[in-house]
Amino acid sequence: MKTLVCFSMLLLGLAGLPAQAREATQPSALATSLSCQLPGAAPAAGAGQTPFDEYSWQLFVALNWPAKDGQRGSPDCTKQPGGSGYTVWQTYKSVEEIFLPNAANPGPWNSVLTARSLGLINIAALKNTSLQNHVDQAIGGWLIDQAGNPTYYDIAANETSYNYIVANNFYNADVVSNASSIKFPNGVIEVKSSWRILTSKDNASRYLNMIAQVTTFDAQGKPNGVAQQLLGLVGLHIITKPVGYPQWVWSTFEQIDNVPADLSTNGSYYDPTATTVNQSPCNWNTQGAHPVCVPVNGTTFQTPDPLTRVTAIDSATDTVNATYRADPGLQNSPLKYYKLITTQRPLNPNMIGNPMGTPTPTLSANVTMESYIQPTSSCMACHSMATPPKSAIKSDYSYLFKFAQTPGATPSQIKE
Amino acid sequence: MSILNGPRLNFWGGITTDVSVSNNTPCLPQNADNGWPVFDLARSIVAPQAEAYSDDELNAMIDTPSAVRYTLGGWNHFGDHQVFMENALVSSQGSPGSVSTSGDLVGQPIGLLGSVDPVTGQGPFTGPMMVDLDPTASTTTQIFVGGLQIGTDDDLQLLIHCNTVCSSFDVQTRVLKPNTMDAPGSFHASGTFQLTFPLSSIVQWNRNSAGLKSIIEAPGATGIVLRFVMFEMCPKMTTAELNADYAANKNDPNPSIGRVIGTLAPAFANEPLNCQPGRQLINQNTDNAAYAELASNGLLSIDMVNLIPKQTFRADRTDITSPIGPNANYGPVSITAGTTQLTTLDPTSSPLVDYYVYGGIVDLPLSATQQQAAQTSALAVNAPGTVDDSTLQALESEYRVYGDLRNVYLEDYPDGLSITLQVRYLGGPVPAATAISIEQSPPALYTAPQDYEFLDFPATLTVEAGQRSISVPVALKPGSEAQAGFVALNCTANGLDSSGYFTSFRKYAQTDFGIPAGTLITWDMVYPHVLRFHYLAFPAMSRYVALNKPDAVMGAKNAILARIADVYKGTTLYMPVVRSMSPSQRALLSAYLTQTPWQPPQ
Repeated sequence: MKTLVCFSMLLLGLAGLPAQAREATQPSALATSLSCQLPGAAPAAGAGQTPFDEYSWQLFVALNWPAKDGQRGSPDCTKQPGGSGYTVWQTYKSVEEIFLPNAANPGPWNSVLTARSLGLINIAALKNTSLQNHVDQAIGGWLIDQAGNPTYYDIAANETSYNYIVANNFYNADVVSNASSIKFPNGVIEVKSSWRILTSKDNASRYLNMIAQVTTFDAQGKPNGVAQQLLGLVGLHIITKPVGYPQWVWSTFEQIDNVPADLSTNGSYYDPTATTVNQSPCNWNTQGAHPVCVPVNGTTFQTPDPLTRVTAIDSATDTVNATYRADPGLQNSPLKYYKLITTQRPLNPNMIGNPMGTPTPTLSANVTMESYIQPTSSCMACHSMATPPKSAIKSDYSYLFKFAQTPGATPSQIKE
Repeated sequence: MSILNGPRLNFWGGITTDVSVSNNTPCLPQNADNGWPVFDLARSIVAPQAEAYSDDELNAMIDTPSAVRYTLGGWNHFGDHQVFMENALVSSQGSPGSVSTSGDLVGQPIGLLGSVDPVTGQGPFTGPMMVDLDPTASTTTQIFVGGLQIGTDDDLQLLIHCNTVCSSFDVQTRVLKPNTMDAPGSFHASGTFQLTFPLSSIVQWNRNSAGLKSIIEAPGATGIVLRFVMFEMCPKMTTAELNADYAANKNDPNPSIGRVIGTLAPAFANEPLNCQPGRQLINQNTDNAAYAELASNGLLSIDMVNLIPKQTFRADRTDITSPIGPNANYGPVSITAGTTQLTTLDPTSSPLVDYYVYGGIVDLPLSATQQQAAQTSALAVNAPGTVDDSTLQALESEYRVYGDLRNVYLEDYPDGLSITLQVRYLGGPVPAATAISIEQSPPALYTAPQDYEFLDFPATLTVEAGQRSISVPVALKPGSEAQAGFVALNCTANGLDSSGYFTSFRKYAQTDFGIPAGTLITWDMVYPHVLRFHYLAFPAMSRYVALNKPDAVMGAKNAILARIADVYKGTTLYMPVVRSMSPSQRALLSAYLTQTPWQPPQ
């Protein structure tokens, strides 16, 4: 079930925000280097971590700028970060809006916004499934926060990506699965977000938040209904394909309370007393050729999955984080409570014989999205495996087509 | 013709090889045992002694910073086996005697490619892949290659798509000093590789390029041959850097990086594909080799790229693209045929001082008298000086045995195989009946008889006078199905070690893993028998598919099934690229992924 609303009726962040956060709609008195516009070009090939991390923050700020009323993907540059309304990326088309039942044409870009309805509880399972995305049972390791609630995921694409998909009828699984080539144009952006339910114990002003419909689950992880919840953003993958980077550039941000810097304190996903961390909550039962997750003995779908950050944030990245988080223009914005984990990019994007371009850094893991595979997690390597459903053709690093619908088929649930 | 006496393109630059794991030992120190095995590399499983440890514990052992562990094994736990040429540029072109540093292709970048997907036609998606047939050995390196490119994508000069493999030859001393450095001992060595691409594999080329026309349209050419040499190789990171990287859980690869010098030329029928033709000269001090051929036009061309060692390793270990610099200076280099002086080369002048610009090949015009001497007498290269207690004395091996079949996976030859050996005397047919001796030798590890005694082959064969080749039949011993291991067959002419050639073999074990036929395979069966070793030994694979996660493995089943299929064998896309998965292991994995009842391979 979806809740259809005009986005002006549902102002993001207002629901649980204290006065301080609401005041963030006031324009900053200080001039900042923050821009509502996306950066024009990526750093030159071979540039160091710092230029790419600055690029990531520029993306993050521009994408989290308040959007113009009624216009998808356009910033309202008269507002400031933290201002009222949807952010730019939240006006991007979600996979629910791109891949409609019966493979219907999703129409023009600037359609009326619908409130988010989140059912995905395992982003890794989405990537890994070789099946079209209509599964009734989660097959991967969900992530339960320390409050005992699941983490939800959402995926969206910008206008360039959307137009490419629509122009080629790639929202239709039959079409995209028979495509001989998939090559997104430069300028595409995909955003993957992770959310947790904010409880009365949480300070909502520290989160970019929204009210959304979410799927609810029983103790074994089986869907059993929907509920409206206040959600806080805990992770954000931003992937973009700038000129000169056929392997895309990969940025990932987290809310700073996920795994706190002070490891003696509790975090949203961190328990200083936990003796077992970063472990999948699943025992695997094979049903047919399909592994089914059953909670590990003695646990349920409500049992927290404590995490640590396996690879520390690079010192150069931390320096960039400190600079941006201290920027006067973000002091009234929840964005100051987010940090870049890393920017992964090809070190040699155009080297002969090196089509992956040497992903740098080697690892890239957001604890809310690559929770249990952090020691080997690489955005670029994982996404290099992406294909449409039932096809061996590479889909240009994008897993979007896992959601493509087949005409005449039972509508897929974007739930796992 | 060949690179020795055909038109050429020469290049030099940097090269990176990212071989992982335990080159050249599967062992780690454990308590007082410096040789505690983590892996059984012959069977591609976790060693029995290590089985009881958890994956996390074993990974911690491998990745915990320890200078002893690093230097013992040269561990590069997170390597992905890819090979890249870095800023390798064409440096000269032309025909023997008129090779010039100017020309239409000079300055163009060159690189090897990975394979196009044999099913979809897409790609390449990876680079070439370096794979040791025997991971415990230093002489069984191969590079699986999918093609070659000259020029950038925007200014493409030559594009070849061709799945082939080249093997290391002349793995011998190429750098004299220092005696030790923060690197495995292989930093002293070079490796020579040769590839042949048929003309039919050319996808695109610039028909206006004089350099390419001279090669591709050479009368009688059947393909393009590439010979390249890598040397001055060392891990990119120092021990301290590697330890810090592992301690921080960055899990970066630590590839071996160094120099590359190469040459392209037309290939012709009846020439060796993967090893160098010509008369072989051996440096008596370093054991490295040169190859020579006298052309009908009176030019004696000698590939000397490895003959004279470099005196010292580069000062900056990470700088692999600056000029390579001259080799050691032993004084004037004299080249003779028997007692006949052919020439003397000044080591401070071209072509010796800038040898790498010319592929290390020297072309010498000979008089009629000199030609006569070169045809009938052994060649030699000498110099008067001494460098770091070494001298330069290279002598021709009058007899030479060589062939294309360097590394053999016996699963590819279920009915046995025949190894064709070329046998030469001073570059020509043998003048008299010549005995070829064939002996097997065990690998560096796994030296028990059951680990390497699985081949039937003749101990001796005879090459009749006037002949140039002989075939050696090789077959598996009856009853050897369960054996797994590595072995080399060494072939010599008339018992002369200097003539020697070897072929290395890998044999997989055929097994049912103790699982009754008809069983539905579960994760608890497939993981310990197949995937656990690969998860632990080759973690770079798990950057693509987490091999320790049932949902990830099953989710990627189509990709995995495709890449363990025979159609991918011989490509850089084969999984695992290390070719360590036996047919029985692949069958078990396939049965698990497809949930079909287990039928052990027969």
